[in-house]
Amino acid sequence: MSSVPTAERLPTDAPLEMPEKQTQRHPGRRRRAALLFVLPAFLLQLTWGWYPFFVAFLLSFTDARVRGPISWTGLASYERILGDPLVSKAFRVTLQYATMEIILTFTIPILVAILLMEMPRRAMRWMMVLWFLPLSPISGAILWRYMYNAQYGLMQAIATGLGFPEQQFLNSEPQVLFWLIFPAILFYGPGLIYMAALQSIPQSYYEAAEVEGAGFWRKIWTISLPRLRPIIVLMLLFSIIGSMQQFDWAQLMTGGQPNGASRTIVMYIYGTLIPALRYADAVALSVVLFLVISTLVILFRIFVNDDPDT
Amino acid sequence: MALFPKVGRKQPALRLSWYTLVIFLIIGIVLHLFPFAFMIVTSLKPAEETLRMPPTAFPEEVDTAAWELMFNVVTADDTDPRVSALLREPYIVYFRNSMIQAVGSLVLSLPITAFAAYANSKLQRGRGARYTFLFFIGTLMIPAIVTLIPAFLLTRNFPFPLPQTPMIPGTETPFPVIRIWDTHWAIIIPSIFSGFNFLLFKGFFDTIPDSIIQAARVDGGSELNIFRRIVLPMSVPVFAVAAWTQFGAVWNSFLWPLVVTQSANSTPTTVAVQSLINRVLQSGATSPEQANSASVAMQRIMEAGLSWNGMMVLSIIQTIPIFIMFLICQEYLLKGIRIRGLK
Amino acid sequence: MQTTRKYRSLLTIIAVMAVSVLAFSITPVTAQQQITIKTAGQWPFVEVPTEAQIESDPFYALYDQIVQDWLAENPNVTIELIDFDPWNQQGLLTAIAGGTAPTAWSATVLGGYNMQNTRAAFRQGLAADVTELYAEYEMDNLVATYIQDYNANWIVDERMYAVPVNFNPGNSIVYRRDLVNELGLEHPVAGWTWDDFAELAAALTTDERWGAAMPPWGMTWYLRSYGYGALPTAINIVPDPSTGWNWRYDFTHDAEGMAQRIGEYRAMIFDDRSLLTDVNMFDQQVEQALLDGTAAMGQLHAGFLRNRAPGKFIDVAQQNEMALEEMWGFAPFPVGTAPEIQHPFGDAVAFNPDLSDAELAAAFDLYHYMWLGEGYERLVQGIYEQTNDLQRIWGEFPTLTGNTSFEGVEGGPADAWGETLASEFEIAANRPIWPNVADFQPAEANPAPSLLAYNDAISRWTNTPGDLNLVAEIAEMETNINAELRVFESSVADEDFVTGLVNYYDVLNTFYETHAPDFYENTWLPWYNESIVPVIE
Repeated sequence: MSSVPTAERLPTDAPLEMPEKQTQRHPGRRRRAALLFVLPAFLLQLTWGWYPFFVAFLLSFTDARVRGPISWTGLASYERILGDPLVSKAFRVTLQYATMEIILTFTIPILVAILLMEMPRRAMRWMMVLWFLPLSPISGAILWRYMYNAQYGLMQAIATGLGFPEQQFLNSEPQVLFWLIFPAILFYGPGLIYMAALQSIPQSYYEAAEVEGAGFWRKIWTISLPRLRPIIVLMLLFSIIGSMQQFDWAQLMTGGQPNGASRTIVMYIYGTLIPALRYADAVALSVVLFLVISTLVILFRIFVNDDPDT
Repeated sequence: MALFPKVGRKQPALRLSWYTLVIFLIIGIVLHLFPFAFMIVTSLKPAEETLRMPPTAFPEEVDTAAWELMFNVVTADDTDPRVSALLREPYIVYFRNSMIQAVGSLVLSLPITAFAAYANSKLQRGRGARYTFLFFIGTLMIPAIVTLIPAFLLTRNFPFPLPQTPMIPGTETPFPVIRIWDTHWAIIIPSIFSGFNFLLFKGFFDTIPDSIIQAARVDGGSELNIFRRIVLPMSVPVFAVAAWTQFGAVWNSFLWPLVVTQSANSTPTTVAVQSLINRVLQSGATSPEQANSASVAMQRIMEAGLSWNGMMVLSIIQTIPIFIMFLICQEYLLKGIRIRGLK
Repeated sequence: MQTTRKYRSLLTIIAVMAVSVLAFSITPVTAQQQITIKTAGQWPFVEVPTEAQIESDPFYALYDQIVQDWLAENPNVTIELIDFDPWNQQGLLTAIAGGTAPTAWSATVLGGYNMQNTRAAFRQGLAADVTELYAEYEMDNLVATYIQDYNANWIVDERMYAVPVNFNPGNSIVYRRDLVNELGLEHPVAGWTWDDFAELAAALTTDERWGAAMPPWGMTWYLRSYGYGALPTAINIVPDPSTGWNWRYDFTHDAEGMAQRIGEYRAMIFDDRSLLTDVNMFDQQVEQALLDGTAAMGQLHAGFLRNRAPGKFIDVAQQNEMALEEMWGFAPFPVGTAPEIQHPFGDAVAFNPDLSDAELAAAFDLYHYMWLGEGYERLVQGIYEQTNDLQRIWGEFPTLTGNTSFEGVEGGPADAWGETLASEFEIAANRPIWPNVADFQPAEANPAPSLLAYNDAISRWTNTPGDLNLVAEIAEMETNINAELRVFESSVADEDFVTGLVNYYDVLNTFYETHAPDFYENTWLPWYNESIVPVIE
């Protein structure tokens, strides 16, 4: 990496500033660079991310409504939310959903991305396009609702064709979460991201391993996966955050039933609290959810190291 | 082709495992293509066949009415009364708005988010880095519905999250406010910083060995130049992925544009098109009280001539730009491979 | 200097952003002399046809002419069309919060199509108060009596917040009249019971066909027909002013009876396999099951039968070379012991609460003109002249005004739909509306519980096959639902609550005595005397 741009260090600029080489010896310089790099995003995140949330947070201590005067009610919303048995049920469902979704869907896109990289260049292009083709959730929901129809759906035909008794699919309380996650096992994974990351692994690493006699799986285990580690860790983080907020898919597929077995926290917020105009309660529950997810994220960051070189 | 040994590829055992791999991938592809095939097949069915259970595998008679409708919608053929029953302005107007917003957001979002992620990954250390990280991804943990109303009010009277502009105390003059409501900016500005892409970029920059950056610093590169000359070329693939997710996120967003746009100069296609689909789905009703009015409303659309085949076509129209973006981005993904090949 | 140069591109981006934001932010504030009606151009408020529609469709040309004539009479009013989805509750609420909502919208959207939530929205001032305008236009003389009965839904604390735009005979059983004839079975008639329903469903069931199709909440209706349920009309909820929410559930006092009814409904689904239901069996799926012959009867409202789109009931009957009423019937809803639980319903239009008096008056006048007044009559007559299509004229029957004939239109509802069907619609439309406890109490200002625990249990019992210990599950459901109630606090003072209750139960007792004397004697009175009387005394 010696081909560092020299054209930028024009002599006319140089005398006016300290020599560039001193940058690393001056952490202040780096800090200033960091500040400038971060600043635009910081301002945007502050005004359009945190500021509205802060306003909403304040409203959770009021009887906030869509229109008209509001008054402080202290912790009343939180008391209502924390005493509500439907909330604890929804939290249970959410945790089950998130755990199951991560266990069942997280690894396949990684594996597929690694394997796709083995294809010849031209084949890889088409396979990649076809594997990771995007589909809008609404179209997916229409399709899978057909597929899961307990009377005539294709899944039922497959199940009975294979000699199983008639299945209930989405109508089954113990199985509904599995069947909601099932389409995501093969579809809609973030494989493209892993493919992007895999490309940054220098070919020479593999060549060196081969010289040492490493086989197919060993190369995956000792090179691909460790180098992907930061991406995997962050995708896992994102999966935790995302699956804890699972909402639209389950809403479109089951509306939370049967027996509330697929009603997650965010569905309870969107489907019950907001329609009932319980805005303050909705915010209070979101704050609780935010704290739960934050705790998970912080624990995760403490226990999981994302440095590829360890 | 890094995992298979460079030599001895002709060995039968190796060949067999390679073909197993190919078959595995092809099965996955076939399964994956199923929804798309189904969408296209459904769009070619006549209206009454679309809701038949079990769905027919192929149209009993091919009916292109829905595609003709789509053609008329896209070309804004106003001799077709159905077009005007579905859309107020020619589709192209909404399409242009969506394009301006998605591309505008993309152009601003990628550098700003990438800079922040780069700084967090390579320039910051220790506690500062950790807090900055949480600051940037923290909002991902909040359900969007909660900030919808305050953020919407901000587009009306920035920086006040209030429906009316407050008066400067003791005067009759309102505070000066910035109003971006009902402009393209109302969609673009709040979408510029993307927590998801921040995670993506950071994850990617973390894989770049510090030693490379360090070496460049020793050679005297400024941080911006290091980013431009070293990090950027290595990051083409991740920029491609980020561009794709950002474009898709803006293109697909529905609830936010619904509340912050109203004139034909700013309304994107989702508000014009997807609202029709949403209404027909009538999903998630759990009690008898919910269903009645919703179903009367739904019926009105169906009577206007929109059926499931038409909805499939509408979903396809909505997907095409994302699909094109996807193709462009995967080109750059592959370019990344070529760049690596040169190393 | 060098630093500036280094970060130039960064700074440029920031500067460009800032400048462009400012450039777009300068919006001129003009004084509003003129009244503007903002509409999303969709039913239930005024539609705005495009030029192309006006040119190609004589109906829209007529509609537009009628609206233009109104505008000519009201020169200070303009109609502005906005792109807005008035059917999305969250979008609508947000727009109201920021003052960007259109002039009028369908009232029930405010509450996510739930009446209790809609009334809470009225209570929070999310719709304009139209009490005075309603009186000023003497609406009670214009609209039919059945509409006036139903209007109670739009009144909270004696103020009215919405005005009717349509009226529907309500949910009932759509069935294959031709099949029942063919198989020589007995047609359902007024007063037919759930036992008759089960029998007919079983008789109509074949290997390829279900006897009946019901939405996911069908069991709620079944239980309500026998007096069970989560509403105060049922024998499962006790007023209890000593608690915060003032109500307490008691399902266990007759858990066996309730379990037996649940078992009967489950038997139709799982044993007879004559009843088709599913977590996603919404109206549209029920409709489809009927249309393609998968089910022979199903719960739907009258609007479905009158849908003139291709592939729907009218069209399917035509394809089978039958009149609509020969192929399809609109049977009464089966009863248990309690009075018939289904009743007619209607939607209403609510106005933006931020409208000035003049704006509200103009919007109301336009509503009146298009739905009840001169514009409405001209539209009906015009359509008749253009098409001679009576089904189009009587597409919404009973009408808002109670008309059974129009000047210049030859033929009434019976000519449009056939004698039998028209009388079936009429019978359905005349079903009594149940007394609603909310009409007797001051409006609730605090958040209200959701009843979700009850709906959850229903969905479990409907969808889970096998032997369930229903009595134990009913007790568990009672515990859950009471646990939810405990966290709520009613804003209604105890004295007001009890006063309201006395009036409510007076009306409810009379209602039961009139419409189901046996139920009143055997089921309601014992419960009332044992559980309600001690509280209200």
